[in-house]
Amino acid sequence: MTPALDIKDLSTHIQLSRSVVQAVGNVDLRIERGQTVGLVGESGSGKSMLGLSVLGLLPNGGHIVGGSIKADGQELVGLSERELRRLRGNDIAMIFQDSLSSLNPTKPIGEQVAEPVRLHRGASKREAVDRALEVLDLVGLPQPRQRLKDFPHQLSGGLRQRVMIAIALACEPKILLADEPTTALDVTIQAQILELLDDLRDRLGMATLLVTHDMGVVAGRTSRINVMYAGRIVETASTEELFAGMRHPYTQALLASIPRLESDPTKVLISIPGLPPDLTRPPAGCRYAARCPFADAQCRAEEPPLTGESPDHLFACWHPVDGPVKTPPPLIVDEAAAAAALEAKKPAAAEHLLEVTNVVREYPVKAGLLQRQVNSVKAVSDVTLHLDAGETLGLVGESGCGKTSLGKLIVGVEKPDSGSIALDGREVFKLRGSNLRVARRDLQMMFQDPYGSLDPRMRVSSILKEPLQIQKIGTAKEQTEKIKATLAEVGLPLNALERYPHEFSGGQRQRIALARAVMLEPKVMVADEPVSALDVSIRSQVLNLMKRLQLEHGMASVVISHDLAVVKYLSDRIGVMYLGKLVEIGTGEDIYRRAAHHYTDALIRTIPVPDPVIEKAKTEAGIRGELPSPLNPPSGCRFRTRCPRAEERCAAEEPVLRAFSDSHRAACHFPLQTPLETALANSATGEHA
Amino acid sequence: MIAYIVRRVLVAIVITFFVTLVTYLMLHIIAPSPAYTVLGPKATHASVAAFNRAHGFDKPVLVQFWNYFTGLVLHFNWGFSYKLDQSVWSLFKEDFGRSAYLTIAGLVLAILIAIPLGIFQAIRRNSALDYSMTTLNFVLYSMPSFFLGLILIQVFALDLNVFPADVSDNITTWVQALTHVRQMFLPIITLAAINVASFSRYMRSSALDALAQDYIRLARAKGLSERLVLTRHLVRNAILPMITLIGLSVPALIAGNLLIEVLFNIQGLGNLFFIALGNEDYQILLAYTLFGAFLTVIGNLMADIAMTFADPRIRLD
Amino acid sequence: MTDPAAEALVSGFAHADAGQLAPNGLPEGPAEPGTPDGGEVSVVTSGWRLSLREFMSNRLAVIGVAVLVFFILFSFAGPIVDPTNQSLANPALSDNPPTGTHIFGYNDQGFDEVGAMMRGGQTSFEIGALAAAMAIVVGTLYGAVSGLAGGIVDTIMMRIVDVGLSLPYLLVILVLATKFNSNVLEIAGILAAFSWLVPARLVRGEVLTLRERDFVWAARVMGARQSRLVFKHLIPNALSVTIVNVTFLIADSILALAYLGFLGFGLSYPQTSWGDMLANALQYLNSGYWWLVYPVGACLVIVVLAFNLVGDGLRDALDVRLRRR
Repeated sequence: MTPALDIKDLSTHIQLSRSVVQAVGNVDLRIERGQTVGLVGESGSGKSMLGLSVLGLLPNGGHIVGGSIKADGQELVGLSERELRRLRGNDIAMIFQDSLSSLNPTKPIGEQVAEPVRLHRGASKREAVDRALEVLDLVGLPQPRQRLKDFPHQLSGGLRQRVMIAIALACEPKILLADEPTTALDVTIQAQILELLDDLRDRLGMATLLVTHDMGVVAGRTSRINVMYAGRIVETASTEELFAGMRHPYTQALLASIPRLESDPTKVLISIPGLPPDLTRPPAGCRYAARCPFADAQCRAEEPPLTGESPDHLFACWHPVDGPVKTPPPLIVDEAAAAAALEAKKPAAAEHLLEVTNVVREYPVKAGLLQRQVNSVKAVSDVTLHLDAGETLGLVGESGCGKTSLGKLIVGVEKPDSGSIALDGREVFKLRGSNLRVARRDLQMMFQDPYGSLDPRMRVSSILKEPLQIQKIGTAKEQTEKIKATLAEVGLPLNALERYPHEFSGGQRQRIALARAVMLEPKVMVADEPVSALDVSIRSQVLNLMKRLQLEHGMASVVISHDLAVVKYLSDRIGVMYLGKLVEIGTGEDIYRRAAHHYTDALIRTIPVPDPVIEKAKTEAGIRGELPSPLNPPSGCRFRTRCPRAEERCAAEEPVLRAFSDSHRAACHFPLQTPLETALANSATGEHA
Repeated sequence: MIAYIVRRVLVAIVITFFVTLVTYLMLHIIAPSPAYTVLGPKATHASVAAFNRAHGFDKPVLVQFWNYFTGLVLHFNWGFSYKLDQSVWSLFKEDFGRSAYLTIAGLVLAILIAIPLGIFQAIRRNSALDYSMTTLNFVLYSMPSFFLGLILIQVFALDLNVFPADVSDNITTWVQALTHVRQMFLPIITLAAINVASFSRYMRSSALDALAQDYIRLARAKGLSERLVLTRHLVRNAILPMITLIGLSVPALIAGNLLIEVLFNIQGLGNLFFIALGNEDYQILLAYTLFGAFLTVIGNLMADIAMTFADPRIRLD
Repeated sequence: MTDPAAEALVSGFAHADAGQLAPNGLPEGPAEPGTPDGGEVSVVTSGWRLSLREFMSNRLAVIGVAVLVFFILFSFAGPIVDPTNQSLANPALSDNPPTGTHIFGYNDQGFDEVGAMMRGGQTSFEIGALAAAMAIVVGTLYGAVSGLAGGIVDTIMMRIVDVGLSLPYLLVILVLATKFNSNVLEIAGILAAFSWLVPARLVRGEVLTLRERDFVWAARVMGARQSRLVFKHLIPNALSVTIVNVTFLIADSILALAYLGFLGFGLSYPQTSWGDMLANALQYLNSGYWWLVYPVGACLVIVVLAFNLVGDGLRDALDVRLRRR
């Protein structure tokens, strides 16, 4: 049987004004009918360009320089624009990452879905609308008839993505190209969309190419995976085989660099040094050689062909590895220094280093004639937690859960509407003048966007010196010594001092940001999504570094992330937030092994794990429904609208945090674990009996 | 949306009030009283004082302003030209049509040329045609309108003799302005050309922005032909920012209108203002400056309101 | 599509073309043995030099600079190199056509036209630069204060700008010029009185975005005072908006001066500007005295065009430093 999509030796180049990017080089890829094949790679690996090549939708200057693409036996390379157009949206459809910018903002969604039907099927307006209703229903858009006239900005991200899928499916394509279809979505929504794509593939028998950077996403959804690096397919195998017995060092390192929920936080993550090569001037030999620990002269001189013992598992490497990394190396920290640093940062006055008590923060929403406040975004609602010296607390939750606001409240750049935040017994946001300035030394922050957090007009030396200058610490000479030492500590060469931020890669910038944050030897550092803007292979470098610095400086940290695995890798304790509420808090093991709150439990089960055995065993899609608006959160328990166990009591009565062990608390009326008080009462009655 | 529009209108009213105040005060500082203009430079102090008393120019400036403002709002009284011994409004009424015709024709023509041109340039970006149009736009953009008019007069009126250089003698009423298109041709073309330069430049970059959007890529992925991608997805989104630009172009239109009326000797409001400048007829200067300011405020307001209808993201917010 | 000159020309108008593909990183070398684990830092041209290189690669902008240098030399050094009679009227030479040594002939006063063009150029450059300087200083400070103050102060300050922008500028300038047009300073003042409004609004917008940028938040977290935020972070970053605006302001001021001159409210005699000269020349259109009309008109257009080209080039060049943001 002819495969649905058969790509052979495809090369695509992109002509820039002064150079040529060799975006895709000699790629082979096959998808059978009804099969989902994964295409995994980091940004700039050429994976998106491969997808766009199939449809002939390359950006300006992009063109296929060689090879063949056969869809259902029909050759696409060399087809006229007119013939290609007949296939696009009809036989081959594509889904893009960003549903907000991919839908026309000035057209109702009904029209946008009906458009390809009218175009390819010559349907009448009425028939096309009927078909649009049908597909919108198929992709699970609630009440599609009422929403036909809605504009994209009126829908939530998850619903918009469903609309985009509906557009792709409107003409029942044989091939679906999904380019990072869930990257912009929250975890719970991502699971729903992936489930939908799976389900649709089974029902419609499409061949699907799932393009993504996320190993977890492909693990459970594909039968075959192609790993792409710097424009080449470096390894291709069945999903199970790729995860269990990969042969390419890149695949091996990539998988080992991803923090997992079950991984041991005392071990370091394997990290891939350096950066991918510049595709305008690709290296002569293996493109991964520069970052590969096994590379030798042959690797640097000669490009390895894509071969293997069996045609089902191919790899391009002269010195293949055999399966995953067995034992990751332990974390090496200067214990004595770490102990001394920790001692220096112990709170003097208070029991806990940082105490957050009943903190509330709401952002007013103004509207109407007089711009009166009509409502407010309930960003942080009555949160209480504490942090001890040297401890790392992780905060996880989906977008809009208030984790970033809480971070800003903790470092004192925003003030709570009510409640108190005390560092060593002092409420920082109530201080003034030089007291406040000095108190700020103890609270530093690291931001998500490595491009926005460094002043583009300052050299690195000025950026690193700034905290010392503001705080008037040391002489100019001492300051220079200090920044040199810290720069070495974060693994950057001395010549970095004289450079501007734009000359660094994202990972390097995040190192600079980290160096700046530790410059003042803070007692508490808040890191807001420290690695989510970075590529997978760079993340582990930064995570390892953060972990080491936290220990060596005895810093207490608050790590904020949507990624539970990242948080668990870095943290001693984890707080789970949902719509402004802290719903559960406990040690990493409490949360991961003994989750008491249904949200935490669902979150853990929803997060895609880079392991096909676990992923494919999952039977349910986790949490149903959309995230409610933080403007009008549900009464009682805010999670009740999506909770499988919700009862009337959950709507009427707000659950309070109850203890499940010394370290473990959760706010749920019907918890998955037995609360301490009940356990005590039970054992008490047991004794009586 | 209604609340937004009402609020926008209220803001416009407040701005109008302050614009009137500022303009009145400015003119008052330059020329506190028309007494010397009316009575002549040799008038005695006593006769000047008597004139001021008779016409209210002796009162505190804010009182004078309030009288003027209420007169304007309640009775549509734009003041009195002592020089021409006529109410300003009657002078305006006479000239308004010709100026409106010239300006609106120039504006409409500019929009009709600039929008397709800008979109076309964006689609064919980097083609020889794009470069030459871009260059031409740049030159026109840097050219004072009167100099362009002057060149057009030289070429079309003096050398080729196809259009008249001067329209004053032929057109006396504004109805004639409508019927004598040939006379009005060069002035309208000049005004349009200057506006085409800035409009199409903006339109091109707005269309380029829209072309780079993901929804254009999705439209292509649906299999739409380039023509349909353009008409169904690009044009409307690319034109949206133009609405604001056109709303903001009123002061430039008033300036262009003035220069072109003077150059071609058209009896319009611009020329009335120009003559008043020479005559130091401050009542007309005040009234026309205010008139222009009101048009500017209205232009902005209309653009904002038009945007709320044209852009669902604002309309449905 | 890859002719650099052609790209430079189009880049003047919009820069959306290149946005599709983000090249995947700097041409960074591999991590050699013994390098720090953060990787090497490649030597890329840094800071303002990168902007300069980008600017120099924009052929039209470079031509613009050359043109400006030529005209500034022409206007200010020209009279020294080629002194001509510009003070004593000589009716015998009035409106005489060009000769070999007086390539654009004589004007109605019998002055050498090239010499008059030099004098007109001086006033045009002086007024343009002066008006732009005043406007940019006032506008930047006003916009920065408004953006930083926020709240009701910001609202009031911006409503004042709205009021100013609602005035039809040419009419107001003309009204003012009936009283104040005796010298360069007064005219520059009149022009500046209205041209500070746009930079004020731009700088305020820039300050408002910069205020929320992470690096400003980072400085706050370190305990920086407001003054440090303003002088170390906000002003340096808002500077590119300001720099680009200066060139456009000069171009606009020279054009506005030409309008005033054309309408007879330019500098008072015997001072002159290119606009004044064009106004005088209007009457000669019918007589065919082309040398009194087109050379000076061309000077005006070319200089304004050059300022606009340089401005566009600067905008793109200053953008490039931040493009990888």
